Amino acid sequence: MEPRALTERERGWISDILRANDEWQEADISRTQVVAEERGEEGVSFILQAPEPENPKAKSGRESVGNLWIQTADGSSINVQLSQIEGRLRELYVLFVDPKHPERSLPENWTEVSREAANV
Amino acid sequence: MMLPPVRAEVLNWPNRFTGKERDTESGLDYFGARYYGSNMGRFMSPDFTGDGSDPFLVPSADFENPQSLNLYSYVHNNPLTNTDPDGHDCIDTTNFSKDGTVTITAGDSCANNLGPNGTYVNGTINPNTVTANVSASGTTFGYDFTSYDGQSGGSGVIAQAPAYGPLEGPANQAGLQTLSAANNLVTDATIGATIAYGIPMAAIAGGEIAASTAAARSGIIFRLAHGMRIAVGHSQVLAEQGAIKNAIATAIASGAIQKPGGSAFQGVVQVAGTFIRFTGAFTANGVVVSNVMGQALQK
Repeated sequence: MEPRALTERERGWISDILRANDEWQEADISRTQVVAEERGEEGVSFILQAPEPENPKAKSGRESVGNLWIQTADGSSINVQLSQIEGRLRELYVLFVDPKHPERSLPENWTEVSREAANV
Repeated sequence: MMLPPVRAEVLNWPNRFTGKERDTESGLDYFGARYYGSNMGRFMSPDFTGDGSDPFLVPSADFENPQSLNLYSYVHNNPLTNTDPDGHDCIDTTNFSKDGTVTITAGDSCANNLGPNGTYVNGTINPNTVTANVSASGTTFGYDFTSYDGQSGGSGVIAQAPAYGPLEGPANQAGLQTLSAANNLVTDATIGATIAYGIPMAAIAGGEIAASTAAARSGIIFRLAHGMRIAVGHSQVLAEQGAIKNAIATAIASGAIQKPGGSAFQGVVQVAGTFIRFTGAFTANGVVVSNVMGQALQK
């Protein structure tokens, strides 16, 4: 696929997660693009790329920058995982969990009931 | 040649390294939970029970500090600043200055305590409750703590002989001390120097959980098709998925997880000699485990 800019939804997810992580709060995602996208059995993976590390001061070797948990009106959960390597954001993984319909994949639209970012 | 009386008294005194009692037959120092071999600079058994053949919890794991995953090390291999009151983990006592200031750094990695019922829990020290009592033999610090699961708490005591002898200064004489800003969040997971990205789950052996297992009974929703992966350099089969899920389910059920706030949690278990890190959340629809990573055991 051709690299594309982050959508407003993706940018919002990433920003929420970054705010929950002290080390990543000042990260610059203005030039971050999506360079690959793959739908798996349980979620969608967006591979990210930027010309420069979004957080060149990052000291952490931890892959995970953080998680975002979204509860929807129809009783589903959406888990957004943001990962990095050496100060570069690498992947936004969107996991969809509908316990009543395990085979259901991420819908195009949903109604959020709550949203919570965590530094885990 | 006869030793001077004072010297002989020192040799017969059973309390040795950091004041712990030395077993006269084995030469090992008794730390309550474990024996420490001072000639080898390590404990003789891993922190917590287990030899790597069965799943067990790793409550002292600190994602910031790979040394915390060495279950045989003494105070994360930093005896200059850390002490070990009970053989389980450490509390940093970093600064005994002569100007009257005592600084205790009670980081997460060192905030493991015995709960009120004697159960070993993973928690944090309340910085507002730390007290210090100065006596001729040294200084005793007390503190209150809360476990990460919020279900248990209690108090602990650590005796620490000050580096400069009995503490000086009016602040210390009054039992006053300051506690450095404790970082109560587990903010990092430097499990290995290099974490491979996106290695597929095939590196961890397949196999689902049996009906009679803890994971099956727990009702936990595992969504691991993307998340279950291992660190670079370990392409061999590390653990069986069912065993991993059972260990995680047991950890969640027993509260041996860390919650940085809100519904999300993370934790570490050991399965078949592999440290397994997991993350998840308590959602409206139940517990969801969404990410699992493995790292070979450091011994």
